[in-house]
Amino acid sequence: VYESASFRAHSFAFSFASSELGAVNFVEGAFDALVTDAYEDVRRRYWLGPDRADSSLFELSLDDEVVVSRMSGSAAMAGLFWDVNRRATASEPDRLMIHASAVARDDEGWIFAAPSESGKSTLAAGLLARGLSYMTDEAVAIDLTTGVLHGYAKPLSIDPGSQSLLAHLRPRSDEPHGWSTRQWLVPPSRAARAVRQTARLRLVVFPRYAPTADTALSAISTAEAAIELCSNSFNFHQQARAALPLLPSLLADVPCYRLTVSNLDDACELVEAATRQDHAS
Amino acid sequence: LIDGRRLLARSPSVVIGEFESELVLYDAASRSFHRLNSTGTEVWSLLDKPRTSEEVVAALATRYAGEFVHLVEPDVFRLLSELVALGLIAET
Repeated sequence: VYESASFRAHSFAFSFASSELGAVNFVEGAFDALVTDAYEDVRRRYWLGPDRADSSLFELSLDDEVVVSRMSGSAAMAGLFWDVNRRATASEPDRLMIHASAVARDDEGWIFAAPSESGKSTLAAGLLARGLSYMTDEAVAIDLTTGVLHGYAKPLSIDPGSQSLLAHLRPRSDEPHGWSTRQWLVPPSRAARAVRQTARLRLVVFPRYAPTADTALSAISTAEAAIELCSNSFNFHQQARAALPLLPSLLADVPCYRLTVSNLDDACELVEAATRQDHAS
Repeated sequence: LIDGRRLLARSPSVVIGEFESELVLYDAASRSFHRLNSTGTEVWSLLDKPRTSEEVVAALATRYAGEFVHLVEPDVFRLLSELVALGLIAET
């Protein structure tokens, strides 16, 4: 049995073990930014091993609970990443958990909130290549009383449709392989110069991939942004009474935009220009 | 249609966020968002306690010294009927 280091995804603490050394190496590489030596008392343990009914396939469990069974190795691994995301986004009930990617420049956090397949990860990866720090490509938690963003530096998930734009993130031949999914799962240490766990909210953008449209950034009101943020939240409904009255002050001085993306470089430039303009004003 | 003699009250399932020039309403029962402009915000603020539609119009008339109330009145009734239809306020 091979055991991984311990990881923390938001407040979900876990480790990973497997009969396959390659699987443990793959997981440790992917979650390299989430390694922690704390939370021993609440840590849970994934196990990936031969399926009990069909030993040519794999089974993934969390403690005694089966997560997926009778799957190929790469499919079971995809199940691990899905389950970690699911538990991480449910682990911060006192913060507003937004379905968003986030990057930071110094202590200023920029979030890109949108449903799946909107280009959140691609946009974040484009900005990381320009020197910004990585916070998450999936879920950022906002402390509504302080305005502090809390990141979740999971591996970047690069869909096949974006891989030609981000060729520099292609998995290297010396990295553990055979466990990859159709997505590239890029360790933050490869995608970004730095990882940032917390930052203060300074920019909110709602991206939408539209291949035939012009890439464009348009300002929106804080009321419109608040509705979009809440609509892209995993847990707004559970804390609406506490959260909604706090959003006006949280967003009062934060520029908010919609971003239509057909060209990644142009989109990154527009976002950076907007923050430069905000600083200048 | 609004019965002018029945009291209208905010639905307890509605949560509000007060933004610079707009009010955002979230109805936890339907999980839906709504935005009110400045006039809508004013009407909503008048429903801080149950009032009839006629009382709402009268309060607006007082606030604006009676000017243009005959023009505003249909808009207020339309807004109130929309808020009722959406379940954001209810006749009690």
